[in-house]
Amino acid sequence: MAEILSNLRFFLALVRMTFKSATGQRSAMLIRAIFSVTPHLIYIPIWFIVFTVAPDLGGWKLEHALYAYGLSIACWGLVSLFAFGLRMIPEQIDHGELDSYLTLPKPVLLSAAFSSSKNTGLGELLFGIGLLIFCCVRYDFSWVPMPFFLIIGSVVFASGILFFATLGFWLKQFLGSAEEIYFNFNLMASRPAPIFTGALKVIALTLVPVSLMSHVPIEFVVYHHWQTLGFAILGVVSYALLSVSFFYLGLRFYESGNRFGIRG
Amino acid sequence: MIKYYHFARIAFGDHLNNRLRIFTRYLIFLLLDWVMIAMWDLIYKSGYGPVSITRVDMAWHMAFAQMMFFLSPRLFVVIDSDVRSGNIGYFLNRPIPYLWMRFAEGVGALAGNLLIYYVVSIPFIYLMVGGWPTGGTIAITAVLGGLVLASVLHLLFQILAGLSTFWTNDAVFIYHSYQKFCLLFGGIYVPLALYPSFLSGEVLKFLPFASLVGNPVGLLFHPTWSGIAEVLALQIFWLGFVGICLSMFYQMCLRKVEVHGG
Repeated sequence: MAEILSNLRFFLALVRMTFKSATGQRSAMLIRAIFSVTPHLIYIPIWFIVFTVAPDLGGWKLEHALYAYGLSIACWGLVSLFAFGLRMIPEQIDHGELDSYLTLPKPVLLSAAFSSSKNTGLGELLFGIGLLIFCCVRYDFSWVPMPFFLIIGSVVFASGILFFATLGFWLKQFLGSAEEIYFNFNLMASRPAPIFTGALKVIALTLVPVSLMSHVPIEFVVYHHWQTLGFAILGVVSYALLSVSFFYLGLRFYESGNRFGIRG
Repeated sequence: MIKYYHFARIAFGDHLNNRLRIFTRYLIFLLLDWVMIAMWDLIYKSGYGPVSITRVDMAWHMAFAQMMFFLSPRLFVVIDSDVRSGNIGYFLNRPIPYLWMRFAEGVGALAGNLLIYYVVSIPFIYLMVGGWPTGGTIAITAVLGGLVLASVLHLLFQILAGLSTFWTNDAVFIYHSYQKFCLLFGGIYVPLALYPSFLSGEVLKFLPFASLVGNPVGLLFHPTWSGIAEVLALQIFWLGFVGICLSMFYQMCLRKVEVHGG
């Protein structure tokens, strides 16, 4: 118990330090935050076009697509802002940067994940939340579960990133491909849930659990299915545990000592 | 030209050696295809499918539209890394322009991808879709030919995005913006012909984004000789235009290079 509390304190200290470092250059952060919103503003009209052609996709309408997109972008921003290190794990492996974390008494994963931040994350987080608020106001969705969905969505997305980034222990120079996987993982979370049927649904609930990230929350917002939400939480915890275990399995194959470095 | 050939040849071999990476990327491509085909299946089942386009043709359109982004290597990441790390300073001393060296490497890797994606994807797409497009072999050949030029154009845009690192210090968001423009104006989710009147496909087809995806892939629906000639002419125009802009932009970048240390 004492160790868990100690790790929790370490985690909070890391998050605080990372956020402080990211917000240190305020003007740079603001400019990048503004620019980071641009791609998302460009993307939204696509759903207007899709729903002009087909106004109802198996029960999904424009408002559901917007809510799903808001949720997925906010989760992307949250993970980029506080746990950018997760995305960079393949590069950390290639450059032997895990060496210094292995010498620390604290868990390697905590240090590797929460030691860096990407300041575009703030813009994405604010944009995502803005879109969610817009949906709540315009389409009368409930506000109450929104923060909770942001947390479980971020856990799913972070776990997904960790799972695929861990492949970097076996695949060298994997960062480019990994970034592509994260991007498409996030993009798929904004696709309408009724598309995912049969084997595709199994994939969306297990290997690439985009359904847990956005589809289940939307189902809850619309139908208030508590049982589905309960199963989803169980799924999120299981997937997070699986990803962490997979990372530690990969760590056994880590070839350290590639580069010499000193960390203060 | 021979030196560019060798750069392309080495990149081709190097790219094909990374079998696991190619496999991983291919899986993502298949998954995205699957999702897009499923989306249009649902649209047709819901009764909103366009009468002028069959379900099978639409599914092939979606699969080819996704393929364009996967044919080219992620060249902007390499350039972004060169600029940020300062490695570009070492390349500038060489008797070969950095810009065209990277382009040649990109074309080499693209050739490797063309080999894999064209050979493996056709049977896979057929299995997923469950039939051949109405236009038959001519339509497929026209689209595959158009996608080659589209991928070269995509490489040029990627280099532009990569070189923007000199000012932005991060090519990723520039590339993502460009990618989203392609999704919106390129006709990737919805064929250009079905766009609503306020975003007329007749106007959008003249934009470079349509030359990347919508125009070549749209040949599936009407594989006529005049249509093929029009798509080809537009692609060649945009290749020339973007190529000239890129050369000028590269000259601006050279004035911006600052290398510290050694």
